[in-house]
Amino acid sequence: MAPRSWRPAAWVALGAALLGLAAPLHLALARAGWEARARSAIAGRLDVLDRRKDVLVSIVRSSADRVAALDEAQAALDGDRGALSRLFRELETLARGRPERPALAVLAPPSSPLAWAGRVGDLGSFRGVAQGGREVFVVVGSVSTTLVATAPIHGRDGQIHGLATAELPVLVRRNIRNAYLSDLDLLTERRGGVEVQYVDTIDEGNPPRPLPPLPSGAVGEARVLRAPDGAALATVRVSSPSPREEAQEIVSLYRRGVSALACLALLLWGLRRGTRRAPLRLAAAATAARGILLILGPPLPRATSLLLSPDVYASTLLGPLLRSPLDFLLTTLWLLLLAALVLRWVLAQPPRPPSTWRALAADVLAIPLLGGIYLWIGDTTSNSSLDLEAISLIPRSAPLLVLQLGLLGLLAFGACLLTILMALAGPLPSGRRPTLVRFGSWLVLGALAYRFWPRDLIGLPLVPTLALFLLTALLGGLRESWRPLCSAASPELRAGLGVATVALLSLLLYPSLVHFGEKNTRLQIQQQHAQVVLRQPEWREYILEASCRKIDELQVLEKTPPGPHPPLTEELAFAVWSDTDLAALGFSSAIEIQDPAGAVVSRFALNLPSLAAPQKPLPLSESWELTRERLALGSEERPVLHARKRLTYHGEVHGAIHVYVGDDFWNLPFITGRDPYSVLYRSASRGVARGRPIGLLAYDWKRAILFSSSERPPVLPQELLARLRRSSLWTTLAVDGRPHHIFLFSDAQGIYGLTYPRLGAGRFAADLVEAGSGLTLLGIAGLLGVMLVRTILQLPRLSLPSLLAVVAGRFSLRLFVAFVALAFAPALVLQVVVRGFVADRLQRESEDQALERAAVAKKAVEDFVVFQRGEAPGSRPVTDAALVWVSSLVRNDLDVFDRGRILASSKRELYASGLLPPRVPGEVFRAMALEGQPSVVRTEKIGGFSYLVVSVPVRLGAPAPGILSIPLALRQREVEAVLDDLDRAIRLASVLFLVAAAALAQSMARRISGPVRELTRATRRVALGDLAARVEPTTRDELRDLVESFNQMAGDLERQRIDLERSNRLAAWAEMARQVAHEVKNPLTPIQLSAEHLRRVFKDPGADFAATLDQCVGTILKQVQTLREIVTEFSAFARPPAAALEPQDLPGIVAEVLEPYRASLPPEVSLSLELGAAIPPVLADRRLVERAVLNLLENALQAVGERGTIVVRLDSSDARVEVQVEDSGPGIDPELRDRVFEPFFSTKTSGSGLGLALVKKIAEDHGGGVRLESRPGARTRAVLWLPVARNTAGTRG
Amino acid sequence: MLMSLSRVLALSVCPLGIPALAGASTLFSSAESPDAGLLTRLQRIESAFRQGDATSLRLSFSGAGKIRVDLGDLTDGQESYGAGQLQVIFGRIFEELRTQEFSFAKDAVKVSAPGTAFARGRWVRRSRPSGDQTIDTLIFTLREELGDWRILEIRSSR
Repeated sequence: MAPRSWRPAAWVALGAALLGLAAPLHLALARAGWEARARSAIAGRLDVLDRRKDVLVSIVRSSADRVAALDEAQAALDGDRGALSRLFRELETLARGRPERPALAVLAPPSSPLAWAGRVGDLGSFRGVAQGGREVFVVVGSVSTTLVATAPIHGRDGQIHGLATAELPVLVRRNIRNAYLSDLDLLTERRGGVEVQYVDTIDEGNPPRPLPPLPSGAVGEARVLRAPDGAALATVRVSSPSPREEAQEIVSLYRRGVSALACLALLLWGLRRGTRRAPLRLAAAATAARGILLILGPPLPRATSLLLSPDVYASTLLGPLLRSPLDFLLTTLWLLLLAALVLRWVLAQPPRPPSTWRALAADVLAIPLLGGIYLWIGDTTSNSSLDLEAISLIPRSAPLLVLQLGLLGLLAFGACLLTILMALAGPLPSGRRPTLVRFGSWLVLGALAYRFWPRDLIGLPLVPTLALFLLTALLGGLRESWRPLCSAASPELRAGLGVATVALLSLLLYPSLVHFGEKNTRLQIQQQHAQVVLRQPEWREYILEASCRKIDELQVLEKTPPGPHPPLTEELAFAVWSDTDLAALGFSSAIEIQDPAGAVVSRFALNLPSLAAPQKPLPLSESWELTRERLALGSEERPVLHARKRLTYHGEVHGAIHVYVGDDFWNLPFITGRDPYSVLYRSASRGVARGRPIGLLAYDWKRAILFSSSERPPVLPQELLARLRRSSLWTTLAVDGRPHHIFLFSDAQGIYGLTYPRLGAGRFAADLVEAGSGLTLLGIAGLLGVMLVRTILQLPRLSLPSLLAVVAGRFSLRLFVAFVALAFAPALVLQVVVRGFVADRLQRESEDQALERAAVAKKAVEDFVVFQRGEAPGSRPVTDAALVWVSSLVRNDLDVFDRGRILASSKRELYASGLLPPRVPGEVFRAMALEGQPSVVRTEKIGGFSYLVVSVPVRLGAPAPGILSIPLALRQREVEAVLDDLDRAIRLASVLFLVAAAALAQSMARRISGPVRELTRATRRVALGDLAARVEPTTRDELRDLVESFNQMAGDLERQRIDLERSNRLAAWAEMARQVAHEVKNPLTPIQLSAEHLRRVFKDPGADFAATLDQCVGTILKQVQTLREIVTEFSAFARPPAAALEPQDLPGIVAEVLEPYRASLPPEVSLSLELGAAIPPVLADRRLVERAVLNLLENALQAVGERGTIVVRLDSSDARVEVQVEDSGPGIDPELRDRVFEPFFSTKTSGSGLGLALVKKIAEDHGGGVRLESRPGARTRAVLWLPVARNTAGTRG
Repeated sequence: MLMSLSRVLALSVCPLGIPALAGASTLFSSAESPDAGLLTRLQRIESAFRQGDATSLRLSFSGAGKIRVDLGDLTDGQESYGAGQLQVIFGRIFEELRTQEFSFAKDAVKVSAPGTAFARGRWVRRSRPSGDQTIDTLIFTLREELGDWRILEIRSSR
């Protein structure tokens, strides 16, 4: 049975295995009942579609009913102008009230729009409306299909006075996919397996067109969706996935489930701790998990995610390991883990002694290793479709973030490998000569590598490479310096170091990415774009030919009944255009469609001016004719290729079609046009746009400009011509006032220059800071995430509480965190306030500028109208061509509306493609036509593309003024670019501000906590008796006062102690004199008495003088002896011999002292010696220690008197040896106990009171001490301790 | 509906008889005949598509810079891809789709002046899981690199 800690992993692994076994069973069951289940699912989906249709119908019906119910509608239809203005407002409110924003209108008979809101279509063309027929119907256009509801507006007389309409586009198909536009299908919501064919109101009586047959084996069912009145609105067919598709989905689901469980089991197994093999197990688990993810695929995200898409990134460098962005991240993280485990093992080994050859070998090996790392980074940048160097504070997209994290992991992996290599090379040399040799070898190897490096194969970024090498060389070579610090650091501090490492690596990564990005751009320009420029004429012809072929396939106008003004053809030209390669490539091109009478019924042009008169002769041929022409727009001419043919079907002429392709360089796919709307028509990938805009310049051989994609092309220096005749070249010139790198190449027709902006030092620094900050913040976020998880798991270390404890425990950290947190506020304010202020200012400037332009344009248009009226009475007052001309004067596009409907536009394609409705927005019409406002500024939107529009009234020769609108799309882009630059500058400033705040916090913390720490240290010294402790004041603030106060206090204490010592000394002397007097006086009395007695006996002849003499002399001698002893003791205390310290065997000393006493002890007194184990030698003066032990023993003997026990013990602890003399005497009171070591203090009637004082002095002279443990009635123990002699081998047991 | 070969020929030839305006070029200038190297390369591309072999297709990619590719719904819009990336992309496409037919029409190959050629290939493929058949036209742009023709661009024609 598995051990307890294995159980979770084993259970999860068992779950994975069971899930894997369940898959075939599920497949078998699924296969058995597939058809019945499919039919049931289809029926369910058809019901859902029917309900969805009901919802859409309900939206338009209820909206139309609400409009019809408005009092203002009736009043406006009766001619109330005030009510009309209110009606516009009511319609705007109603339209805004619905999330679907249906377009609402009120029509006066027969179908003249009176008021409207939202994107109202060309209402007059609604057959249902015109015929006053159906309540709900569908209008199918070439691009969009609209669901329309009508409701009659009854007057007071009960008659129908008008009609309310509500329109909702339910299907839009432009065949264009980019960041701004996408197709729309409200009914199916673009889910797979559903086909829809809407029934146009014109086809109501006809049977629905059949849907294409289903693939063999597929199961599908169709249903007609009907309006409330029973008329068909659409035919839908739902088909089920084939059994194989279903099986594939089931298998995919199980694979993901098994993959998730298996990885979880491995994670649980690999992260188990506690054994020596834990790192090996972790490495094995990670490797196995990587293998499982490779074979079964990751459990998340969905297969359609960009994270799993090779369109974003894929490489074959490591076989199948790098097939998607997520693969790249998983692989780099797996390798990083393995390298980190190896590094940890290497660092745990004892360091090897320095070796020149080993160091040289490591240095040599480091070169290919560095090459390999950067080869991989280069491979990643060249096999990615994203702009990897765009590292921002806020990640731009998930795939970009994943790739950048993977690159960071890759760099960390490389750093680990290099550190391993350098650690194996041994420590960096410490002497001057070896250091010079090592650095010299680096220089020589570096120079050789630089000279012979295969740059074409692997272009190393020099500075990051050197920095990475030096960093890892220092890490590996100085491992003994930093590793103990790291080992001793708390987990939180180590995590902080991890974040700092991320910051450092990101600062190394960004320049590398810029290097490779620039290299790729140059290669792309040189090898690819230049070729595209040179082949452009043939390419245009080739694509035009393919487009003509496609148009033939489309059978344009084939189903339209031949005759003038065929219905529903306004968007036809755009629909045809979007189905050809002209749209796919974003060519400057146009398509015109004529009816059999020659009238142009539909026209769409992209980047080409308005092309032709509304009427012209039909082409003669039924096959394609091609000519090169020059389209004139005032003084400007545009060369075009023009293909046209007559459209003849079944022997009848249905019309004609013309295709124009601009014969210039605007068609190049990598050139960004000046037209702000060009982005709307170009398909783009889902990734992040590349950061290096490519421009093109074309010159003739006389250096005259032929073409420029920029506003201010540079003059081509004369000296370059000669070089260009020989070969192409790179140079730097100013384009639009900014330095650009230019690749110049030529052919017989002229010289071409492909340009991209040079990255300036300021911009580089800003981007570097942003990149470093972005990835560091990501690291911090990741760390906080880990801590949060650990907090939830209630793990004590590396959790949020432990982090708070670390911060709370250190004043400097608290200050640091507080400063950084506080610095966020002004940075945020800076971001919001400054940006808001500048944006507002730019907006105002734009509006002012637009109003100025509008005034100029208005004058030009009105002049043109007057001129046109004179020249061609009865014609349209203003044409598209006229507006194109005026727009070139005011450098802005223009639209003119007459009675709310578009009359002319310099950007007809926006209307021809259905991107803009043919009616001016209702609120603009209301404000200007009804309320007389002089101008209106509003935001217009085309999909996700928004811009400001300024509208002013314009006289068109009719009583009611028209409306002139100026869209500020170009200006909007300029404003966005300025704001983007501003955002970048503010972000840079904010980061610098935060860094400065952090540095300031660190400095202040050091300034504040440094003196506090010093004060703490000094206070401790003072507490230990070192009154000389002082703190050096380093500041000039209150802390200085505090430090000076402390110093003063310590000085005062020191002085007081000196005074006290002097007083004590004087008192001691007085006491000593008293004691001496007392001690000396006592023997003097017997001496005096003996002498007097002797004299008296000598005078008494009868006395026995001899006996008396003998007795008295004996007494005198005895007292003299006592006096001598007293003097000796005083002398010994006052001037003890200087201690001569040597290692001494304390048990031997004690035994020697005890030995003489054993023979002369009173009978009932016992004395024993107990020795502890392994008593180490002490550094001591043998004589003094003997005296100290003797005094303690004497003291004990006196305490026990005639009966008792004395035990002498020797014991040793960490750094001291203790001599304990324990007696069974009566003990002493605590207040007396504290004084027993004072000189001349004694509880006995005899003795000098210097014995224990002498013991204390001897102990202190040896660096040791003495204490007395005693209380009345208990055993007394005197403990003398001496420090162990260091560096002395040998102990005694 | 695809245009028949005779119609393609008619389209290429017919405009020659159309009177051009003053200064106008000939209609859809006639292609130079492709050289043997180009034909060999096209055959290799055909073979790689038919066999669903992304590794051998990679050998036909340009050795310098990225390859511009737009395969409609099969790729993420029009984008430039590295050779390794494109190999993986085609590998995945060939896993999901089985090529039933891939061929270049000889007369739809056009050699341009500076060592560039355009070729149109007809690709009939079937989705492996659903069995749906799709017919597509791919336009290849090839460039002569060191005496060999390499793919510079692949684009699905609308």
